[in-house]
Amino acid sequence: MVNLVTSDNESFTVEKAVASRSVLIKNMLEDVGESDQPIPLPNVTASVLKKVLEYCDHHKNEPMPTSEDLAAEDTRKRTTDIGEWDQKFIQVDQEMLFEIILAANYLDIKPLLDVGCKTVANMIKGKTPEEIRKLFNIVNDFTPEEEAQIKKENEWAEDR
Amino acid sequence: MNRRTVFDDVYDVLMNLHDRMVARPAQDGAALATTSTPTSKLPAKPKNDPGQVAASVPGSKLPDEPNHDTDQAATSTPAPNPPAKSEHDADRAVPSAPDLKLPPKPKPELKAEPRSLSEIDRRISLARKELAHLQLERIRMSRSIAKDEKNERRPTSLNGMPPDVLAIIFSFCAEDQSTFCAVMLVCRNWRASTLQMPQLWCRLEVLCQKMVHAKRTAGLGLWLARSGDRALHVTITAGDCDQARYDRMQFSLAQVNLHQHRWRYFSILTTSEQLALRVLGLCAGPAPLLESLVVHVVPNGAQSICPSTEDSRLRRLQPIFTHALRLQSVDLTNFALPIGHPVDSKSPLSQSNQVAMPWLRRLSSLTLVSSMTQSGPDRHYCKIERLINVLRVSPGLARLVIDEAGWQESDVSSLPAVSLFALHELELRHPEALLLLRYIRPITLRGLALSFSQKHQSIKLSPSCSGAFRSMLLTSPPPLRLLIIESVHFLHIDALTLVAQLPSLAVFAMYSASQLTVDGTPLVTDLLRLLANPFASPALPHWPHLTMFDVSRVELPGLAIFQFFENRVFSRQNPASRIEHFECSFDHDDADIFQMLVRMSRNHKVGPVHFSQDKDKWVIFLSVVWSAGLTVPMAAVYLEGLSNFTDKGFRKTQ
Repeated sequence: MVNLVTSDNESFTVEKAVASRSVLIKNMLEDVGESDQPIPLPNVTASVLKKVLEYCDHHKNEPMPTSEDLAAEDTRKRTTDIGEWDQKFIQVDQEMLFEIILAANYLDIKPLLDVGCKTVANMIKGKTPEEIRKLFNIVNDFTPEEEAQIKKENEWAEDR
Repeated sequence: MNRRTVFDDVYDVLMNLHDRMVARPAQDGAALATTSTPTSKLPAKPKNDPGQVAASVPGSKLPDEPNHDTDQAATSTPAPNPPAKSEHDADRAVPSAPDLKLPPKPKPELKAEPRSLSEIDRRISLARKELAHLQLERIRMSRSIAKDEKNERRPTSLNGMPPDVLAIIFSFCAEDQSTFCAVMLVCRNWRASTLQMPQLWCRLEVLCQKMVHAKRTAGLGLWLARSGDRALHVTITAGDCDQARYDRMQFSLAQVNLHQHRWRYFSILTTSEQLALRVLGLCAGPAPLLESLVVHVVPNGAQSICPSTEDSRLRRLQPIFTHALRLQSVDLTNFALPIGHPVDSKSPLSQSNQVAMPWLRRLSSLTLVSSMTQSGPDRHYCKIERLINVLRVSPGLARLVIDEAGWQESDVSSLPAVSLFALHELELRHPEALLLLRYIRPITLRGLALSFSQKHQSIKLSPSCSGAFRSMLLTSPPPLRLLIIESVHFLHIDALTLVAQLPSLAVFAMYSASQLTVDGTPLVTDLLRLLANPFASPALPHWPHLTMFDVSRVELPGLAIFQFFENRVFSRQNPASRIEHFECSFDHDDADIFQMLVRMSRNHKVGPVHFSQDKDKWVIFLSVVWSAGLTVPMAAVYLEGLSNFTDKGFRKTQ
């Protein structure tokens, strides 16, 4: 078992197979060897780690992505399809979604990072720039001239 | 910082006033004597514990003070501790009047010289009130600062994400060109991020109808320039296109073709083969990075396909194909497959008079929908013969999809069978394509789909075609793990033979209700009964690796399904693998049996069993989620089609 301590000082004891879904933790465990020392996770809060561990537990028996898989990603068409369980898992509010993405990035859990990023991409898909700004609370800082210029550049590629 | 200074200043003034009262008893002795009781409650080192000062405020009220002042002061002092003063402040000697250090801009009321003790007390009270107010303000501010710091760590907006995460999100957005265009218009930060990532600009979907204006062509050029030197994924859609329109968009197409040395994926959808050839013919040089080529010619309405001559086709395509040494996947619809060129250009192409194009040797996936070249004169080099020759010179071919018509057994009766060592996946979409099974030996075939559309139902098949699958099963059965049979009614095979000859099968799907065994029983029913056997006789074949059984379009007897579940799905003694996906239809009369099935599924905790009612029949859908040992749901594999076959076995791929 592995003991993880969050930024808000909460302790989680999980199976090694679950914790090792995180490449960061896996490497730490390999470096430290057998030890009872808790692993501090200063960038992850308890509420987020709980979600992350739920994901890791569900996927603990799946093969880890190999370096070949990661290398092939550039050449392969990237689909935004998300599995059924993952879809339900990632149905959280926007703040938690961002927290999960950041935690997955920090803990180096590529499949979870992809699920989070795909979810954001799916939220963006089919929306106008204004709708995207509203959705993510982003200010339009383009001048009208800049906006017109970009539209002109992309005119050939816009939706039919 | 400013507020802290004000706080300190007010505090200093307050304490100075207090010190002066203590230091000058002679001036107003009587009055001091009467008012010394409340002020004497002040602590010996008040600057070290100003909280106590605030707490003593109610006791300092004088009779001649306006009540509202002191009441407000009393109610607004929750007694939080202000910041501690330094030691030298606390131990400071009582200053004389000229030594008083008043704040630079004190309030006039505090600055004015006090004229009586009551006046001083009133001012003390005011100062305390101000102090309490500042303390509250400080607490509010410190909480606000803490909250801001916390928020800084949390990205309340996508703009707070690290650039590498933003890059991943944008890479998914870039799969859809319109979405990517919208992303660029959101804000400057997003646009700047996209401009720094050439990989986001590598996907182009060019709609030729829109490329008739020069400024749009310029935009296309800019897009291509932003992709740097990365490999490109190009899709060109050219619908109805007359000569005038073609001339106008030619410049845009030439821009794309200028970068053909970077094409990794190239796809063109047109309404005529001529146009596809023109676009491809614009290529002047090789496409050394090309891995995947898709040419779909879909005739529009009455427009007929105008097949080009073999010579003109080869002439146009040769520059690309000759040096496309990485080409692995070719998907053609109504576009003749360029397989080789003649050794003797004056003689017609034939098996002996041809040089196979080098790209065939590296091919791993080939999809041909009405895309074989026409047979030569007198059928001297027929279509199926050409295909078999392609297979012969493509040793790495792992996936083959054929939707072809017009094959005749008499054309190829003398051809020797070809052993295919790499072919893992075969999909035949036309009944006549079954004939291919007679001329290939797919030694490592893992997945076979005989998936014919309804329009092919009326085709009258020769015995050679209809019996080809059965013949292959009986003579040299491949190690199939997946078998999909759709709209096939002529297998002439019984369940026992099917199961016995394909012992490794893991996924079975059949959508042919009228497929009967020799005794007239539907094959699926016969199959289910066989698989539901409680293995009293271990010698009976039973597909021990079966994980998915989908016969959703076939109505099955409830009892057979119940026995199957009892003995195969819920049985703890059964050594066979567990079913992860089961789908079929059943009659309303069997509803009681299925309710019993649902109860059993709850007891065995195997996962959800869904029932749905569809007019006159019910559908049972079981998606079993086993608690352990499950790697990849077979349903997912199936739904993604046969293309998920890999050398490692079934595996869900992106």
